[in-house]
Amino acid sequence: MRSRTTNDTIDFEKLVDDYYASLYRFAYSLSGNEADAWDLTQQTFSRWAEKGHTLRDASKVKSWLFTTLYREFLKWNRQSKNIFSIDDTPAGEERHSVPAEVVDRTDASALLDMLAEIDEVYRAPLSLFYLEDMTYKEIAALLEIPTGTVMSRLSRGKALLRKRIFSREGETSAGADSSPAGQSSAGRTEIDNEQG
Amino acid sequence: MNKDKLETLLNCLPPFADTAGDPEWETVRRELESDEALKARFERERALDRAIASKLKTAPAPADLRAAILAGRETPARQPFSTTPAGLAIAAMLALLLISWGALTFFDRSSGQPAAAQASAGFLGDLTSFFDRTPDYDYFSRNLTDLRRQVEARGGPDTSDIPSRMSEARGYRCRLFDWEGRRVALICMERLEGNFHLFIVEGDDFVPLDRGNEPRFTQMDNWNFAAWGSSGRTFILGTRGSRGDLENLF
Repeated sequence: MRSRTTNDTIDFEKLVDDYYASLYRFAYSLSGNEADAWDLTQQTFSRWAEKGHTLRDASKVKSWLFTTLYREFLKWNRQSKNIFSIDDTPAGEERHSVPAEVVDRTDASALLDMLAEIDEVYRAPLSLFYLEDMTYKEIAALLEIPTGTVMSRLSRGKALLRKRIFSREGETSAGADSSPAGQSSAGRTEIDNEQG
Repeated sequence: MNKDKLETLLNCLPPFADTAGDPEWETVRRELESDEALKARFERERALDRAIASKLKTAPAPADLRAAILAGRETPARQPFSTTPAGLAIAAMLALLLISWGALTFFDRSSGQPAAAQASAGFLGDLTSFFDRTPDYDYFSRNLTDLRRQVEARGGPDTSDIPSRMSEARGYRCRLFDWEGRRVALICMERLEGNFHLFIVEGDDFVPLDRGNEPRFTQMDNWNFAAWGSSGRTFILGTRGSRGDLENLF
């Protein structure tokens, strides 16, 4: 007789309701476009329909879904690494901060695009950190990389994301006020510092 | 705990994590209380992390994605034919091809010839067995040239003589498999009109299907197929689109 498994107790529709939006955002942050994010999300739930019943521990459903989506993404991108470019921001320039108000003024989709533009090695841990509030240990387990690697990638990834937020804010400010005074705002000065 | 480690841990604290009762974070908290400058910086960073996390979580998912996911799960999970929606579509296409080939063999070409009938029946059985397995794909790419390169690099059939207009389609994915000692490739493509699935078999004696050097078209329910032979290989192209969609590719 088959033992009781996760699929027996988890309603598929509820599972979709609970996770499709967050999986889509994760997929978008990885792939950087709607079509691939859509496909990756759908594929993840298809995988659940096929194999979710093998999961014995219902508390691991979220982790299972995110891991599966990430693996699907890796499969899609295997041998396509040349589409990614390593951001070569010098490590010594990672201390700059961004006022939270700048983020408040940023459109959510634009922020997700900025996240998606970061190099993949930083993007995946950073997405799980911001989108899912995962700890470095949870991220390490999900991405199957050492905790020390996650920590360093989070640190670098956060710096890269801030740089992008800063740059965008600077462009917006410059667009809104192209006067020398406008460009000498505190935010603009920090961008210039950041970019060396 | 040295300051570098302390800063690293603080940097990794999830934006809205509840660390109450966590011994590791109790230590961090105590250390933080004794360093005012670090504490102030941490609070600024945390406010920023929370603003980013909160904003990202409001990024919308497509309104119709949920419905598409639910609609895609037409087959119960543990039935033998269970597979992905895309896999189901391909399996359905190949199943229809199978029926078409069987009909051609039994009624048009070789009726009254037991050997041909047996060959078709065997082919049918083998193909059905293949359908019972999930068609996991080997490689995904939006670039059709990449897919063709992958097929050939993995020992699949030569794809150099697929029609030039077909080469303009966007790639999707491919799979290679062995069939009675032969390498068979399935390449999926996308165009504005819809998805196209190209089945390439090394050899012209393998598939019991009526075909010539020019494509021959067959319609079966919602599917249209074109089959042709070239340089000792058999090509079968299927789509849910119209025959005209297929003809546009030649």
